[in-house]
Amino acid sequence: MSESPVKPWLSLSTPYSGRQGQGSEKQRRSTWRSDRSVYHYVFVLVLLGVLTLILWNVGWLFNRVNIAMLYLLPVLYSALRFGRGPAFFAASLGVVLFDFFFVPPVLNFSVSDFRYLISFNVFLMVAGLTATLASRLRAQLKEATRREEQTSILYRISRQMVSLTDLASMIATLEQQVSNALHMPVVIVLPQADGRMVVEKTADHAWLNELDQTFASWAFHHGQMCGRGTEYFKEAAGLYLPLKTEANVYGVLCIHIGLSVPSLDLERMTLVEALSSLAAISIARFKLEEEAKVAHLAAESERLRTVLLDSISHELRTPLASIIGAATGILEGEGVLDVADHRELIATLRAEAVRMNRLVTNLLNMVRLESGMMRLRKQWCDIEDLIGVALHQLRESLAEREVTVDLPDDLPGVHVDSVLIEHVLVNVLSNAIKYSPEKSEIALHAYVVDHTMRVAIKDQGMGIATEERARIFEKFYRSPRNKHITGTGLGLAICKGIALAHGGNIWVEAADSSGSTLVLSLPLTSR
Amino acid sequence: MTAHGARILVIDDEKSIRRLLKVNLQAHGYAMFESESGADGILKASEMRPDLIILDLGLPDVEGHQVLKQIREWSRVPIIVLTVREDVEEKIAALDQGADDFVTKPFALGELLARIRVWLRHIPKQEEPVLTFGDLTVDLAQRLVLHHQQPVKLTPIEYDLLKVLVRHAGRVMTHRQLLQEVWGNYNVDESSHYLRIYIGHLRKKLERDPARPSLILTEPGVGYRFIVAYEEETNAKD
Repeated sequence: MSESPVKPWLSLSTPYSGRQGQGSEKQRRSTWRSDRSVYHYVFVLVLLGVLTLILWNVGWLFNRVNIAMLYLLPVLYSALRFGRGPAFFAASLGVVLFDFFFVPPVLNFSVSDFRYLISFNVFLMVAGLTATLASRLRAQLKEATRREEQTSILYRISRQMVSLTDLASMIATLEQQVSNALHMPVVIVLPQADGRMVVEKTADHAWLNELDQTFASWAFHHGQMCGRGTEYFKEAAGLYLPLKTEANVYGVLCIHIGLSVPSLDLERMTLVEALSSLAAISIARFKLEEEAKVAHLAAESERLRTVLLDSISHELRTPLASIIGAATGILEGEGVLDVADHRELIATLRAEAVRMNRLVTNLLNMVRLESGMMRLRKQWCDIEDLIGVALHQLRESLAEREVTVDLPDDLPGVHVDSVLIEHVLVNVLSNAIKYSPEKSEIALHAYVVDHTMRVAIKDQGMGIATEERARIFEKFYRSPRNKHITGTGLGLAICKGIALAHGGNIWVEAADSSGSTLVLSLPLTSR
Repeated sequence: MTAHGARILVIDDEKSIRRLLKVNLQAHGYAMFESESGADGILKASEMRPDLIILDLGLPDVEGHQVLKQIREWSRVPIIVLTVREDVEEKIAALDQGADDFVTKPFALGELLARIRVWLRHIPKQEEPVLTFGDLTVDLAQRLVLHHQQPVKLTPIEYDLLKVLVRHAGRVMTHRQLLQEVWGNYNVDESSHYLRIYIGHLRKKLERDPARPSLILTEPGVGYRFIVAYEEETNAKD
């Protein structure tokens, strides 16, 4: 799978590497050749000289056909080593030397036997053919090696790209790799939100100047490469390649070549183009992934919003209906209601308002958790104290209950956000009250296990089925068995969120005979 | 025991809250003035010379904290602020800026009335040597603490802490205030650890059920409050 990004641009890049920068290529290559080839020709000359000298001295051992064959060796050698030019030179010189030294009349260019002219021609033809074949072989070998090298570079980079998950590190890696491959400073410029091309990190790229940004901007907007050695702005110090896929231009790869350095040769040009395509594909992949993520999130939040709306409209309306009903009853029932009824209606008013308040608190906390706005304000607290505050808050609902609190004497302090943990305890306790028979016992037990503080809250309710133990902490999940009891399915999800934010957790412990036990676990940090 | 005729200024932009307070405060014998904005509140505070101010921190025109600061520049009148439940930092900031106490919204009226009583009653009662709260008696002159008529052995720090708490009975004491008064130490982050340990010790010695304290209550994230007897009564009634 990781290979796939390599192939497409290889085929893509080849066609335009031929088009671009060919003129300058020829020119540059010829000058380059002249330096090196003088040495090659001299070498061929010396080789033939030495061969002639040896053959001149021991020539009586061979007949002329053998000698002619031996003159093919330097041709073959130079064809393989230096290419066609030196090989042809070796062949021609070989014929001349053979003629001069070994064909009678010796030490004379004239030929007595005209059949030798045929031999010379055959020799030249064989030599020429050999030279052509050998040099082609050499060129193919060179090409194969070059391709292999480029492929391995690209393969390595593309594999790295696949493993990276954020844009910044991907860009950094790309810059690093291209820079390593070319031994030149490299920067990738991405367009800002307003479409301007601004360099991301200035400190690392001191060489960048206004001009670079202008050229980069040009390359970006025209979707064409420019700079040193290309059709546009060929005198520039850098080379600017748009990072483009078929659909889009994502940025510009700027390579700082320098004013005094010749532009890139064809091989490196091909590599650079391949790399820029790879960069474009990587960035495109990243952008697409991001877009997909956003789309997924949007869909998910849409779904949540619907569930939330359904759940809230029901949950808010129920207490509101009671409140409005009770208030209307009081207003309209003046003189009709006796004191006890009156009091009962008022008690309903308050209980329903309290319920709504709890719902709103839960909703707000849920929003905070979801939006990442939940900021922990940690303090050292005693778990005993937090339990006390939670019980105090619920004192009215707990008035009829027997609550046992089992706390060892030497419990360490916990470093937590006291308001949020209190909220967790209140939520769990409210659930225990809600889902267990009236006047049944609720037991709290705090203890230390494995460097964590655990608070177990046990009720005498109907318990929680094994398959539901994880699900009850999901947002909006409500057990089908409890349809008759109202609730949003938010409370425990918030508890879980808060516990996780503290580096703790909350779960349902395997139940014994009756009731369910929820365990809140908080990490113990050393003071 | 209500301070009849005491003048209370309520600064809150919510009309329903002002109406609720007006009905209830007048029923309890207080004279109530109201103001619906910060700027007007500051003005009324100087004109009406109230005995107590109830200030909502979420005002539309001026930051509640700003109102607090401006009033504190020239007046020591007790100020009780109304805040929303989660905002621990806002509570602490308000107390640091000179608010005397807070009530969290949505509040039970009984709670607010209890706070008002504490603050109106507080001034004349300051120097009493013997304080009694239900089963607990603290004799400040003799450094003696009696629980169910039995002397309780307290370490010097525990005694100092209890003394600060009972002297400010009914009022919230922030971690900072307690640390400052007992240890003379301002570093809240480092020392609040000791504070909670000593509060734990005190509860073990004085509370019936330390897990459900009825004397030394925790104000989550803010500090502690020593509950006065009649508050206990109202709670029991609930």
